[in-house]
Amino acid sequence: MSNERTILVCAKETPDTYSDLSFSGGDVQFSNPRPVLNAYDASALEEALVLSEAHGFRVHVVMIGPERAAETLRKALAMGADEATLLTGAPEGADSAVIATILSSFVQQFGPDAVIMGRQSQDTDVGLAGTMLAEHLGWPWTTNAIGIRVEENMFWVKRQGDSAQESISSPMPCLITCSNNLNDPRIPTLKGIMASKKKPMHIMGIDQLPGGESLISTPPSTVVDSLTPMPARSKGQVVEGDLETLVDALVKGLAAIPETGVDA
Amino acid sequence: MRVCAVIPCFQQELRSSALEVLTKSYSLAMSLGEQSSGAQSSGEQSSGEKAQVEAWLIGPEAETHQAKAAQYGASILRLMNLEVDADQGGVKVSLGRRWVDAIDEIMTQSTSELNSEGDASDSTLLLFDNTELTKDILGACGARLGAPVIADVVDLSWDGKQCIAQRPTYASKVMSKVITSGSVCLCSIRAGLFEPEEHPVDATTHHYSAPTTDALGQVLQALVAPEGDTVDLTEAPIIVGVGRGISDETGKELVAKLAELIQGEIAISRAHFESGMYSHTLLVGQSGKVVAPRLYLALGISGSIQHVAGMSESHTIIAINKDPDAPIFEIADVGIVGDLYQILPALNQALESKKDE
Repeated sequence: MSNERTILVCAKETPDTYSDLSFSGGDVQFSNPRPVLNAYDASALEEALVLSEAHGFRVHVVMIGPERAAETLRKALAMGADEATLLTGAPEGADSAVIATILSSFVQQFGPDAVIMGRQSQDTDVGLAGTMLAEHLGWPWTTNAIGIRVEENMFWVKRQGDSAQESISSPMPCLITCSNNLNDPRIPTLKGIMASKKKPMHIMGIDQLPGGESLISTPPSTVVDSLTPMPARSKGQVVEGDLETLVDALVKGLAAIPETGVDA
Repeated sequence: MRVCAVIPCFQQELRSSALEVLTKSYSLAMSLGEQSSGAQSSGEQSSGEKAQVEAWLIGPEAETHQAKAAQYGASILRLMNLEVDADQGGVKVSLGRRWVDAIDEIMTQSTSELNSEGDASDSTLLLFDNTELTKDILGACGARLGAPVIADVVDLSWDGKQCIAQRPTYASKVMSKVITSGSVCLCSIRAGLFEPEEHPVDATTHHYSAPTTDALGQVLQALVAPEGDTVDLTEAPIIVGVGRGISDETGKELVAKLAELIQGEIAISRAHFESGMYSHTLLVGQSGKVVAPRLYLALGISGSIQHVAGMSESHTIIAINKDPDAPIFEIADVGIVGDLYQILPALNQALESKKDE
């Protein structure tokens, strides 16, 4: 191991939730069958790469998934990450708590200077794994980052809070979760794709991690029992016509809501 | 059995999402009470334990909100002041780690009090609202307490053992039923879905001191609060959503005027996140705030999946867009096809003349 400082990006592959969705036998299928790199994690990776360019961090991406996920992970290398690890053999139905426990074992063994990850995944929108991991590690965390810089050996994170932006400084090591409003993740270039084929990708069973046996045998504490289509909103009336018609329809619509204070 | 509403107390006014959490806590406790009395009348052995509604009032304004918590059904109030790390223009914020320590401390202290009073409870449900504050700590709280967590639920039942929640997933296109069980469970509930109801009770108050938090070197250096009102969008009954269709100062003024006339708060889609025309705190969508107002008036918003995920639970949606094929019209109750720069001046004038009548 060199003395180079490392940012570990924890990423996940998800279905392409922005493609069309259909149900079959209680399961959800998307029109694009290819999994994608979770958009929030892509923002995390982009930010790690920008910090790497400015400060010389080594960027390592870790993903929990089946062997097939190596393809998605390869995209992260093509974007510019230096190295990647795929952790295979996660227990069936692993929830945020199980994922955070597995990642915690990996992070402790790996010893990065910072963990940067998406604030949630675009499929489940749960958003718990980040701070669970930070708590397991006993590290300071900052969530929902919309800006990250490194100064005086500290991470300075601008986080979007409920009614203000908070600027928080943390010493290393620390954990940061990213909004996808932080940046626009780069598209891999042809050169990046070629280079990615030579970059190290480690595939490792979760059972090989410290505490591995219990990591793969602990059942998840939350279970997704069923998925059902959301009751769709029905399409209402669509009004076209001259300005007077449109304004009349609007005034009527607004007057139907007492809170607007518009009289019928 | 304990149902505990965790209420951040940083402002003079209690958020309506906090009242929703109290209301949901009360109704869960009541349904538990019915279950246990039903068991008794059928002759079965039952502990007869009634579920207690607790409000954990945490923050510098904890004292202020005691009366309100009791008014909304909390019979046990647990108060803790919390060190504020930054205070800017009335916006106060504490580091997430202080929150986790505070909740952990109240959990430990209250459990040992109940045990020593011979009132030990075998199961506890902690309910949170779904603000950024909660999102910053919920996972860490679950990990600290060793308790399962279900985030962002729109419906919830609990029998003291099992917690069954409904939560939207896949950009709010799918409802996921999630089940967990544990002696302690944590849930955050989405704002705008549970109508706050008053259930006045006599409450007993317990005070706790905030534990000493090791911030691990972390410092909240500064707060940038938006100018003017810091109203929280998740509270607003009327929201005027602004998308790409509004592109300049003239448009912004028209929108401001309309918002004033219909007592609405302005929100933005991601198209305006980087335009600099509006504050970032106003973002609604999968990556911003999730809102469910009485009325969402969408101005020049196309209706991307990410934006719709943040507002599809609105009671009524009215949309104006010049593109008749805009996806927003698929979910709008009233869709108006036309040019905002023509419609808004005429609409504002019509609304003003109605006011003058």
